[in-house]
Amino acid sequence: MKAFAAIGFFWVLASSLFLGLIVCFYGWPSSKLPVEVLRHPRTTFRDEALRAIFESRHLSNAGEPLLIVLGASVAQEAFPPNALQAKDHTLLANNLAVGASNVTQMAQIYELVAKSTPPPILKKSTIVFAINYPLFVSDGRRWSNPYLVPPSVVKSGVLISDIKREAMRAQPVLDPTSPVFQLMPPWLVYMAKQRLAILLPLAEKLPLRIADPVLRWPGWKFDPRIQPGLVAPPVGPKQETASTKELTPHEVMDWLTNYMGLPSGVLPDEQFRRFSELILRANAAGLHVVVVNLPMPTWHARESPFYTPYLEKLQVTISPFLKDGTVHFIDLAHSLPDDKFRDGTHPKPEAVELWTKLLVDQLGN
Amino acid sequence: MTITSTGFLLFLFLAALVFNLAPGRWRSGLIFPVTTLVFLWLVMPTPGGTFTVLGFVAVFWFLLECAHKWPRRSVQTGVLFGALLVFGWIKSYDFLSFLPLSSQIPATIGLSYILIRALQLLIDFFETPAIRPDPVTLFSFLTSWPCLVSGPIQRFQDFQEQLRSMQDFRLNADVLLHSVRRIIKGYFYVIVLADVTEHFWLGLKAVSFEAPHPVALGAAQGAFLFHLYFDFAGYTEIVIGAGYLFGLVLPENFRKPFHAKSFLDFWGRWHMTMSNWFKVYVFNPVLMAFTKHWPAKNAALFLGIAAFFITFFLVGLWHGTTWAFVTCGLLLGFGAGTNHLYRTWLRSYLGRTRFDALCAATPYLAMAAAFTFTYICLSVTPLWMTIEELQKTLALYGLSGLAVAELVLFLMMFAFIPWWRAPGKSTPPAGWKLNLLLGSQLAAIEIYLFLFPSFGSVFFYEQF
Repeated sequence: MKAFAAIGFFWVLASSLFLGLIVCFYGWPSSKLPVEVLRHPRTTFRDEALRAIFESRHLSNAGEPLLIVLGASVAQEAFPPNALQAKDHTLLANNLAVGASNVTQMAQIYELVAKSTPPPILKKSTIVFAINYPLFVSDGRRWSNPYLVPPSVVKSGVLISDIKREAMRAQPVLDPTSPVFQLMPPWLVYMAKQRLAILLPLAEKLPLRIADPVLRWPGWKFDPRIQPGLVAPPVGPKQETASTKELTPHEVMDWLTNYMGLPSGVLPDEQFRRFSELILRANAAGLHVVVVNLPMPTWHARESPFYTPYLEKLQVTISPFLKDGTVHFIDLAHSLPDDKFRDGTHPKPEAVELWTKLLVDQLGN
Repeated sequence: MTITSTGFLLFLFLAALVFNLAPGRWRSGLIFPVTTLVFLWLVMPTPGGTFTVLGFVAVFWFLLECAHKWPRRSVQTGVLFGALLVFGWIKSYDFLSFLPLSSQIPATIGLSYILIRALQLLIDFFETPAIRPDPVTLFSFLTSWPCLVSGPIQRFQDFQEQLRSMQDFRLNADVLLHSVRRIIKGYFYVIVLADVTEHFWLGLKAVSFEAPHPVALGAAQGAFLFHLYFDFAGYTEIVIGAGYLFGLVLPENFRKPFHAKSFLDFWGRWHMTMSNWFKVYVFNPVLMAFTKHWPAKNAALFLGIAAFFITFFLVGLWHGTTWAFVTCGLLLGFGAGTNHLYRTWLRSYLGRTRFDALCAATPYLAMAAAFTFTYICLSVTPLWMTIEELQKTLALYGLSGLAVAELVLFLMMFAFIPWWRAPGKSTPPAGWKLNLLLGSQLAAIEIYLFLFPSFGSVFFYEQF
């Protein structure tokens, strides 16, 4: 038994020494409210998922009722916590929306929120599900999209959300769908996250793969058969890459149409069913549930093959909740002129204030 | 479920708990087979895979019963070929594609290892019919869960003995400690070291395919060997450690392979249970048959070369039946035959005393080791390149490019192998130093997993 104790002791000692070293370099992880997942400039959805996992732990420090916004990138940009609070000082607003989410991922983020927030606070809080049709893309389509999912994951054929993938760093305590996470008391999840959060600054600085910096060494490309100077590097016109090219609003809509997949105009029932379950769970936790149908440019709503089916299915999904009064529905669909959008869906930075005002006004009602 | 998943640890914990709490008489006949069945269900890619493996076991039991009822040479030969045919049919080998449903059989894991165990049992049964197993013991042996995915290959006689002694097995603190130590070491190898080397290997492979970059190609070959070692040795440590919890003492699969002095010595240290199987059931019978057919004394050297070539060619072919594996088999066979020829010739040329003196000289040892590992890296390249990639590489690099790549690899091995073999590294730590090492390995696993979460990595030998 002594040997087991010794192994455990040395484990704690070694990891504490390492964590201590990181604290010396980067400081103790700060604990702050409100929580906001989006940072400017936007980096990757992977980083946002990581932030949602870790920063949700700050909700456990809340001493007053919260307003929690969940959704995808439009919700992130349209409802920043500071702007919401500037409109209404009584709100302690938090935005845990993660870019390019679908309902499955939104439900996983909800689980993180529900685990972290103290139940008495949760019962007095409001959760806003800010939705539009891209949020209802099927899991099969979204989590195998080669533009948004790492090639190794696409190749494996496993459908796994950004949240679940980032949670694999310490799956039992970070993955909201893992049985250990679900069984663990919230204080233990908080402590585990707090401990692992020490590693976050290092994780953000390190490359995705440990070998990446070494693989960039030019010596790997050295060929002793070729004398230096004999082969000149090819010179050609600098090509514009796809990533540097700004998409026009219509191209964004086309991209979304392709993103939603075939058959065109058909939205999977799976995501609406999941949305319904999510509302039930939030209601059961005592939260005040608000569903916001996000604004959409008139031309996009008219031309997209998915918009009308989305409205029809949404109506069917939330009507039982509207009847029994367990959901407050806010329809902002046509409440903004087209010039308040920077592309097919997202708000212009200067119009954010207007978007938040619309929401706060409706919430006040 | 994979061996590195939390699910496996949970399975192991529950299985060990039930096994050790159950009355002794239930263990070998009920708990262990049920545990194996559950493991099969969890580890197979689809439920169909489990039924396929069960089907193979049932067919094999039927064949064994036929061999028992009609103990004639012709029946034994038929049974042997029958087992191979069913195996080839399940594995959907191209040359058996004419058989019905051959393309519709669900994928399985570990069938090549099941076959090897089945053949060992069959051949030994022909000689010693007394070892005839009952169906439950046969199922437990062929699909024994600690050895299911990739060995180690245990002899039926040893397994049967351990199965019988399960009744009296008591899990005490010492056994548990031994088990935990090996499992921690195994996870450290698989999760940290195999992952690091895998990224080097795959990254260098990508660089070497961009354009002729011999340095990258040579380094990719070296990185693959180290990845394979950490992956496979780590897996073996985990399953051997897991076996201890059930009273199973599985055979060792690695004995300091990077201390090998020659190609043949390497195969006596690497995947030892497979090498030993091929030695007993292929090399020895082939050499005996050759010697019987050509008894002339001066033919012995060439018969030995031929036996080595056939054995190692089959080792390569056992991994798969594509042209890449045929190439691998030819390279392994050529290496083994040449090593045998060189060793015999040098010994007769120098005489025993001078030969032994040369083999003990440090510079010769360093050169021989670097050459050995360079050739091993070359011969196992078809395990990670398809035949199309091999052809593309040959066209891209030409012979001079490949020669430079192998020279680079040789220089890397020449520098690295002596460092690996440094005296301090060959003595395993003990006492508090061992506990410190294991504690640090656990911390390293935890931190590495957090900083570099891996996804989609599979145990390399699982595919065979």
